[in-house]
Amino acid sequence: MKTEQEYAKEIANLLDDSTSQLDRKVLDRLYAARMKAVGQLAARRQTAAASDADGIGHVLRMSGDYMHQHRAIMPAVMIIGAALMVFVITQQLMPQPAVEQGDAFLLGSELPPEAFVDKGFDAWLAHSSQR
Amino acid sequence: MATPQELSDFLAQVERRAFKQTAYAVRDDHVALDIVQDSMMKLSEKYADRPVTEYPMLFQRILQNTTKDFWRRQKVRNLWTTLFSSFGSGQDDDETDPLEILGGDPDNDHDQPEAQLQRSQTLAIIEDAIKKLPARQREAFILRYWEDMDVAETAASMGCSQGSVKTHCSRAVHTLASILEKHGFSKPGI
Repeated sequence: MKTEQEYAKEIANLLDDSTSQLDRKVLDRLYAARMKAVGQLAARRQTAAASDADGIGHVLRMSGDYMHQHRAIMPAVMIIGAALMVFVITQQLMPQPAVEQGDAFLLGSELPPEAFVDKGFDAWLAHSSQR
Repeated sequence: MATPQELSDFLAQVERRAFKQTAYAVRDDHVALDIVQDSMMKLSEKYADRPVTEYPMLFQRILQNTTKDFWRRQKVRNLWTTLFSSFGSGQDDDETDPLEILGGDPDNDHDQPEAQLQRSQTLAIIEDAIKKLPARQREAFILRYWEDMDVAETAASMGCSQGSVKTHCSRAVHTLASILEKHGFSKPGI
């Protein structure tokens, strides 16, 4: 007699076999989707790296000249900078709510907001998924 | 933070199962492919700065939410279709007994070797049985036993308690067992 877990794993192994028999068109589509997602990430990384490098060079040049001309206000600038850094670090350490739960996600989604507060949705989904 | 290569490796590892899992839920290969593609893009766009170890759970969560959004869209569309069409109700009355489908005689393909035929028949029966499971039971079964997540990970992915995961999994296995038993498969000792 098999246990519940052994039985479930046996079914899962059979399902694994089914993934090796996928249609060529499906595999091509999955490959294209993966490349698109990876390309998007690579492009974002490149843009971020380029803007970082430009930004750092520019800031160093400008700040050198500026500090030379405005030596008197430097302590105040440093205090404000430190306060800003503390604020940013505090914000980073606070737990972030899941992106998809926020109002921005609701408002930015192509679905109407009523679709997300539809109380009958779960019951409808449970019923229709069994049809 | 994941590199493009790590993202690619992760997606390559999960994409086929993600497609099958979604196809079981929506029962349309083209829609399933669209959902998987959307989910990959969302993972890359919003969660690329997360460690790779979090990807399996995040991707499952995104996949489920994207599938739910598809159903929400369907519901909105169905509402308008029902309002404007007096013929709409006839299509949904086509209720079929799952056992009738599973009991269909698939012995048409005489040219296939016997073992291969038997295997593909078994697989078809199992896939049909999985499609007929209630959505939450199917999700729990697939995450727990196919994606090999533990109970805590499955609960986190599904956004429910660990107790619910155990209940869903147990019910899913019992339902599958009773369907498969009718086709001559051995029943688990439970």
